[in-house]
Amino acid sequence: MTDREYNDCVALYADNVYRFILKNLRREDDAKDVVQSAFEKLWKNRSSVDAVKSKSYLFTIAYHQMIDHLRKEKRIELKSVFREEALVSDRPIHPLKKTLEAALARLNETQRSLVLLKDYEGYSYLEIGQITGLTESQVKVYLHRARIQLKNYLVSLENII
Amino acid sequence: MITRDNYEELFLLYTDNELSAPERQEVERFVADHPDLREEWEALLQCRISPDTRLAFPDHEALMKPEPLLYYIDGLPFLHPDNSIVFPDKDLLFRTAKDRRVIQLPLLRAGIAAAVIAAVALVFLLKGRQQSTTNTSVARQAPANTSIASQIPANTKVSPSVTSIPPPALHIAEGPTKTNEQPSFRKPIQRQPDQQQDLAVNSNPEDGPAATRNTIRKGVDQRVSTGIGQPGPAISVMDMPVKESLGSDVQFAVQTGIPRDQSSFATQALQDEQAGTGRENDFGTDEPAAPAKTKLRGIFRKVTRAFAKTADRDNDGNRQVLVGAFQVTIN
Repeated sequence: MTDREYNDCVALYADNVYRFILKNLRREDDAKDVVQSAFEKLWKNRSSVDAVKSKSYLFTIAYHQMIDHLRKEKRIELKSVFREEALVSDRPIHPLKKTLEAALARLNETQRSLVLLKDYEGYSYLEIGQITGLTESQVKVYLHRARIQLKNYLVSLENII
Repeated sequence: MITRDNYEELFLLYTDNELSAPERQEVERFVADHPDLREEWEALLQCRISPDTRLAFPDHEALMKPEPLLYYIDGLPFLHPDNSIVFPDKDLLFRTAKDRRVIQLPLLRAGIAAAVIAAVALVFLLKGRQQSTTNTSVARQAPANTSIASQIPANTKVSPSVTSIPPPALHIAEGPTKTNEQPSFRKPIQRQPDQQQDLAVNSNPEDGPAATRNTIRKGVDQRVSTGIGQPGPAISVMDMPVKESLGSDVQFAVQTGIPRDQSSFATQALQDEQAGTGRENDFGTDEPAAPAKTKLRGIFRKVTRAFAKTADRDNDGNRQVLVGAFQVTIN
């Protein structure tokens, strides 16, 4: 990957990575830090990275750094008040989308990441497995479970309403 | 083939967009054929999350890196160096050896080292000279030791034969009696045991060392007066070849007309030395004397001689000395 291709990668994928990380971490500052770290690592390893695979490489780095960040966050045990203030769910969005955001927040980290990688970026099971370090069958199973949970959440809300 | 048993997995695969176009059409046909499953199928489709395009990374420029080849790739003109521009005063920048003040530190060190080496060499040289001087003095003491023989009573002839004396010819003449000698003539040693008065000891050059050695002839005519007042026996030391080698060897030939019982200890010792087993006397023989002529050896010789005298005196010539609980036999 050349310097120019790296900058192209920034222009093309920085927002995608940022969305993916922000939906998982739900805090903008943490998401920015993770994205910056991911691009910094891509810059250092640009000589060994193929430009065609730069996107999946970037998502792989960002995903693992996000996991590390979440593990570190669990050790710190942040207060719930702080977490409520840091949530980025105060934007005016569609009711269905808001419901989906709520349903997505109920998933565990792995399921949420799989859903986001699938729906946001359109990766295949195989590519998601390469990014997350899971096998293709594991991705398929986890993702199907996440879909069913989301569907059940939506159906149950409709029944209540 | 889609059935009611496997439709759920196919609906999920359809939602995840993991089916091919024919498989997708087959699922759509199956849903059309089974309207009771349409609601479930649409619920799964609603679970797909579309990306929120309002979310964007705020600072792309912070992630960008400079591209040095950007101008070249974009076809912008490169800046080439203008070789016509030269620095006018290059001579001011050159450095020559004259301008440098080089401290001759290596030469200084070499000079110090040479001085130290010279000092050490001088010390060793002086030591070597002192040692040679000491050896020479020992050698020169050899004729002086003849004074021991001068204390020998009358009718005693002592003819020292001195060899290997480094200094040049030395002539000592005492008293009215002198022996006329030819310095360039060597005489063989002739012992005359029956003769009571004079004894001439001549050293034969043929018996001496090789002709290549420098020989120094030394004639000593010494008359030793006895305590009785009679003209004592003449001790002639003449025509003694002196070897060039270090050290000195002096041979004495002592013959007296006095009975052994009446002679002094020194005389007896000298007689024993002469009559003995051919051992070297106090002044050594022709053996290489350089390593043996030490003070320690002299002390040992003196001690040995004292024991010998004591043994002769106390045990009537048995040469046995009782030291503590041990009885030592002296050769």
